[in-house]
Amino acid sequence: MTSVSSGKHPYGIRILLVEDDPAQAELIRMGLVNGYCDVEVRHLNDARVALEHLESVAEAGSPGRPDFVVVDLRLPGMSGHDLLKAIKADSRMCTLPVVVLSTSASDADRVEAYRNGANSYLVKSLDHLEFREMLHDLVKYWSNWNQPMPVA
Amino acid sequence: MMERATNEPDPAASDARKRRHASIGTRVRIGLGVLLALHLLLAVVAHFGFTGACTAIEEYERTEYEAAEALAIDGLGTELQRAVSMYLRTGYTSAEERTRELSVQLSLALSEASGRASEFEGRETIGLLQGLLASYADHFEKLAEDQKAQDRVVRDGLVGAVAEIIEVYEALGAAREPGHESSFLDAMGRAERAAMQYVLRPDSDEILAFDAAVGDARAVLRAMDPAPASRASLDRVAARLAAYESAFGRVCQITRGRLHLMNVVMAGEAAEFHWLSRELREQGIERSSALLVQTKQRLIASQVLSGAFSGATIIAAIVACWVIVKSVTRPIMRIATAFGDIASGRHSVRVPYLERDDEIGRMASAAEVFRNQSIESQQLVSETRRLAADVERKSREIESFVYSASHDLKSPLVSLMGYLGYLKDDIGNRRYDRVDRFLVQIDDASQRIRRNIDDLLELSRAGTAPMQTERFRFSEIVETALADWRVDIAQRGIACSVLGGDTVLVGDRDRLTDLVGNLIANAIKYGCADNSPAVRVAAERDGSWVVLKVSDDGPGIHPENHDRIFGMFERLSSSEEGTGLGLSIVRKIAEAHGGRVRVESTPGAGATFTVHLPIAVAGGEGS
Repeated sequence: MTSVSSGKHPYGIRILLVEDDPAQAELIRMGLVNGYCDVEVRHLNDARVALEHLESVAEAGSPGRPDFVVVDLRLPGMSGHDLLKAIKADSRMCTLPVVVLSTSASDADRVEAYRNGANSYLVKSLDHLEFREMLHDLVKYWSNWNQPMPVA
Repeated sequence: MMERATNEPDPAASDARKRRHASIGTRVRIGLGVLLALHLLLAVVAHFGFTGACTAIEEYERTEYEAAEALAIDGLGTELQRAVSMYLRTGYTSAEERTRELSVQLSLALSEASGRASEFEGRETIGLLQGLLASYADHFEKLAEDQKAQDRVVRDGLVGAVAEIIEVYEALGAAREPGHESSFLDAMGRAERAAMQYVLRPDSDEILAFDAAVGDARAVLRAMDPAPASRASLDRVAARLAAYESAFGRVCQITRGRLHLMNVVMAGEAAEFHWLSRELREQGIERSSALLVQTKQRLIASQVLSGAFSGATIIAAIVACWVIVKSVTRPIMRIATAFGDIASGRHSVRVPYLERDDEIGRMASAAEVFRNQSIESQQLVSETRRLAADVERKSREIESFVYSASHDLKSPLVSLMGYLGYLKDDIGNRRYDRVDRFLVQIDDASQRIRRNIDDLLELSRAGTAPMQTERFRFSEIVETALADWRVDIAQRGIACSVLGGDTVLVGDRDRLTDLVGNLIANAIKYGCADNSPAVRVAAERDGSWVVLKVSDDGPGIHPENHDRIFGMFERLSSSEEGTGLGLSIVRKIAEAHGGRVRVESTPGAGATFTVHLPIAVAGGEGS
């Protein structure tokens, strides 16, 4: 569990986390960086800032480009929905997987998220083991099982 | 309700006024009854006028007929008289029969006329005429008898008597003297001539001639001196002569009586008959012309009367129509208009005829009821709409609250549980290097949960708890609100200014303190990020409002978020301090006081929150 077992990502996996609550951001980071593989987490607490960052690394093959984005929905200022919409509206980024990670399990949020092109929708669990397992599997799924779009 | 009160005057007065109105049914019945009565009267008058005229015409015709009948009777009388004189002149049996026939005819005509005669006077005259006719007929019979008697006397006593006398005289023979013979014969001849003449045409001259001739004949006889043998014969002659003379005397007597009867009695009767029948006729003519005049008058009278009744009927019909139009049709039309107005929402329309107690009055009352119901239902509809909007707003609020709660109340719990999990793991693994960090996170999360609960309670109180209204100065609540932030203000060097502290507010002191406190907290938490932080608090009177202002020099708020920030759990920055409920509480308290809150801000140039509170609730007199 300490080494990179998959040959797919010799450098590990790069994740962009957009989460306004620092305590939760830390918790999620701990869940994501779990020893399954090399994980690089970049945390931003503001959607607008996150969008600017993504635009700067939007080109496929760009060194800072994340492998997928984890987005909270309730963000001050620009909401997670708006960020998701902006990412999926941009032709350079629309292929970038976006995973919604929210405390909300409401139908309205899920419908809106999927309509805006979310690739997955996860609800933050109150059970900390379950929460950690979910984050672990998330990393495993995107780094191991999921075949990314080939870089042209 | 006020309108209703003015439309219903006190019951006693309205009762007094209402009694004036008979029911429409009664009025229409009375009107039609009067019309019918007038019409019947007109028919009766016309009928009697017509019948009277017919009767008068019939009577007139009868009278005319009677006059004609009288004329016929007169004619018959004249004819009868002529027949009588014909009979007298000729002595024909046919004339006699004709006379009798006419007499019977006349008698029949008279009894017919008598049966028909309409007037007493006429009947009396006819009675007289009948009497006259009867006596005339009697006299005629007597006349006829006399005539026959005379004829007998003439036949027996006169005709042939002379020849016999002469024969006897001739028988005397020798006794006769030649000279005497011729004179005797001559005298006898004259006597016979005179007698026949008299019978044919009675005349006293003939009587004298007869007497003279007979005297002459007697003188001749006396002068004779016959032989004794012839004496007897002579006496016989003389006797015969005497008989002859006596027969003539008898004829003369009968003739005189007959002439008297005819010329005096019967002529008088005929003249009287003629006069009476003429009188009868004249009576008839007179009466018929009187009847004609009377009939004309009656016709004119009945024409005038029926004309008058026709006029009255027409006038009554017009009056009845007018009354019906005035008391029924027009009110119905006006009430119908009122109904239409009310139905189309013009509730201020005045319903006419409410004061009447007949059918129209009932209709007007129904319109009034309709109007009140319409007003009520309209109020009900708008109230229902308002309530529905209210319910919808509330329901949206609840929905939004539930949504927010599901995220924002859960969020610190996620942190709490997460860090607790790691803490447990670390302690289980006897690893202690991260424990402090985890405990701080757990503490923070717990604090956030507590703040959320506090704010939610405050929010709930802001909307539901009853308000305690009191008067106080603005400065009092500002001081209380600032007291909570004294440490922050001092540590961060925030410049705080308060203007209009003497402004008097009337309202719930605790809530308004919360309102100002939340605005100040908002300014300090989100609006004092840079180097020279400042918070300005002010109050002032503006017309019927008290205006409270809290301004900062912070980064400001983008206009697109101006509405959003007052929603529950809405935050524009990721500061850990806020729950996102503060401005919701501010809005709730302002609205509970009948006021409103808004924000003015230019990004980068600070923000000003302005609360308008109505003076009626929030502001006292003077400032």
